[in-house]
Amino acid sequence: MTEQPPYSILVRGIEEDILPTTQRYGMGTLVYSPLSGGWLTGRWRKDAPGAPVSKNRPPARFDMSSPANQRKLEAVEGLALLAEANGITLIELAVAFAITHPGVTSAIVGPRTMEQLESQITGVDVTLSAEVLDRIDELVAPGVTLNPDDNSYGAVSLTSAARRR
Amino acid sequence: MDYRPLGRTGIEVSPLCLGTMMFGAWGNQDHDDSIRIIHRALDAGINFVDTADVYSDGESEEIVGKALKGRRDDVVLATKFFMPTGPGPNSSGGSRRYIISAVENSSAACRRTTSTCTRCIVPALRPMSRRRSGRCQTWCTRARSDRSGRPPTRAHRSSKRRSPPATVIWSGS
Repeated sequence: MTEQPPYSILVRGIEEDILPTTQRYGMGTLVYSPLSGGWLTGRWRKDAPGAPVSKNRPPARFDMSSPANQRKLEAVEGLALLAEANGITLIELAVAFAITHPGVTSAIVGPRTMEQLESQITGVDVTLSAEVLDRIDELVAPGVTLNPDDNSYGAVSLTSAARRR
Repeated sequence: MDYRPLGRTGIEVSPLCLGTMMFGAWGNQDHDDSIRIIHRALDAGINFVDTADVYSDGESEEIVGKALKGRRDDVVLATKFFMPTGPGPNSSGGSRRYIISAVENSSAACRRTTSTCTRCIVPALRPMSRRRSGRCQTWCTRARSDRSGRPPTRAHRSSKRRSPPATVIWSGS
């Protein structure tokens, strides 16, 4: 058995519940969207938030006028600086972060092109120092998901009212 | 690449898993290019590939099947059930009936092009009972041993050419 939740620097909710649980029971955990749907590639930045979004994407995750997505833009600015200061790309920082947590077995990357794969695969060889991880915690606190809509399937189990009444 | 234990399954997987949702109609429609990407990932040491019945309406599983031809034993393959694959009330979900049909259909998608696609890891969206997961795991093991679905014979069990028992995993996506 394994668990497959979303997890990235911008989507850290599972640090509070799912990861301690899977660790406790010795379950493998495959996390998906370590780049948070492209947010951690630098495609959308404060000075260029207008990059086109595929029509298949959930609008709530990419509507730049929402306060939650504005917080993501702020965080990405800090993360991009952090990556640059450490001589790695933002993508490598994001991939390395996702596989650093001891509760994570593997992070699922979903490249569409060879270039995307090549840019992601080098993240495996990056080891993030305690200082870098501390700085990430300052930018996005542990256990915090900046935009709940990034949880994708998070509310499915609660759709039925009988599950919570 | 350093490999890690996949929970308590005894299986070792790479820290990166290749997701294949972008292969086929939902993303890269060039099958040959998609296969090159998969091969590049395997050559780099990734031994973990994640697909799903619904990705590109099944096209992703077909591409993965083609890409893994001759390399199936090198890869831990994950696919999924739960999301609707048809209009009827039993074309989705976590019932035993649907899980079995999903695994059968997934094996078929891979088998068209891969002779050795016999080990399936199947995550569902929501947890199910231990009893049901046990049944599913048993079924996968049988499917691996004998495509007729009959219980494995002693010869099957003892064959050194067989891979380890199938693993059932579940969760989101």
